[in-house]
Amino acid sequence: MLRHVLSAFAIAALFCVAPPAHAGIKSNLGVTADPVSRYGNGAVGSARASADASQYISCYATYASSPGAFCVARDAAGTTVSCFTSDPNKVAIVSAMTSYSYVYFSFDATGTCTQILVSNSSYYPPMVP
Amino acid sequence: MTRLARIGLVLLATAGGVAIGRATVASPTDHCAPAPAPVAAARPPMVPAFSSDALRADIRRILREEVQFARLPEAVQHQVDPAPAAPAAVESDEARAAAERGRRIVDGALAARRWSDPDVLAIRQILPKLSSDDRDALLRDLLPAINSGRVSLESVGAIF
Repeated sequence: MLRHVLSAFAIAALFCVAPPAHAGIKSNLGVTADPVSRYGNGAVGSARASADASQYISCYATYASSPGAFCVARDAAGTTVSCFTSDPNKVAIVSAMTSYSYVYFSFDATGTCTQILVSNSSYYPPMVP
Repeated sequence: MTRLARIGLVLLATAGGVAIGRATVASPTDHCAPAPAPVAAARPPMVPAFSSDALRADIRRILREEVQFARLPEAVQHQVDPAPAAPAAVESDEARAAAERGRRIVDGALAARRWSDPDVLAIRQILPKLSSDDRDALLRDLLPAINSGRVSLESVGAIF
């Protein structure tokens, strides 16, 4: 009897001290700002958790006299790219951003956004804190 | 029933049948009927027997005009039937003043080679007064300068 009780305690103790399993695909995507290829991208959680004090990626939507959205990305080296759009469809995409989004945007020579992509996925880290 | 009465009844039934038949023939203006195929399949319209010569002439004239119109190039069709012109946008004095102020802010930033928090605040205050065209014109100067590194973005996040 005692042996059974001890075995049960041993099994319970094993479960208690075992590290929690963090399974699942994870992806860290720091900020890239490429003025030559004219795009910027990165995951907001990765940018916030980065060791450097430079990189960030941001998009926001605004409405003053008409709808507009703006995206900017700065990488660890300080290179900054940005774009603006007044296309309501692209503005709507920006509105889909969350604290665990990956963002990609491209732009033309005038700084007009040619594409905005927002991906909300389990493998991107959330912004903490 | 006399023979004469029977003949009268037959004639009456025949006349009634003819009248009902004519009344139920689909007219050319029946909107539920399938649309007629254009020129190539154009056939003489099915005109009810009771149509007058004037009605036939009208239908022929309308068909002739439509066929001629369909043969015109598209560009000419638009000239013939132009869309109503949009009223020209008139820029208010306030919008004009805001555009000039915005131009000074952006030109100042391009000269100073930096876009900083005071610039952001200044442009944000006039933004509601700017027309879309003026706003886009300012951004077309500012953003390529930021993207090429000619202007340093000293403000984090929103640039206006």
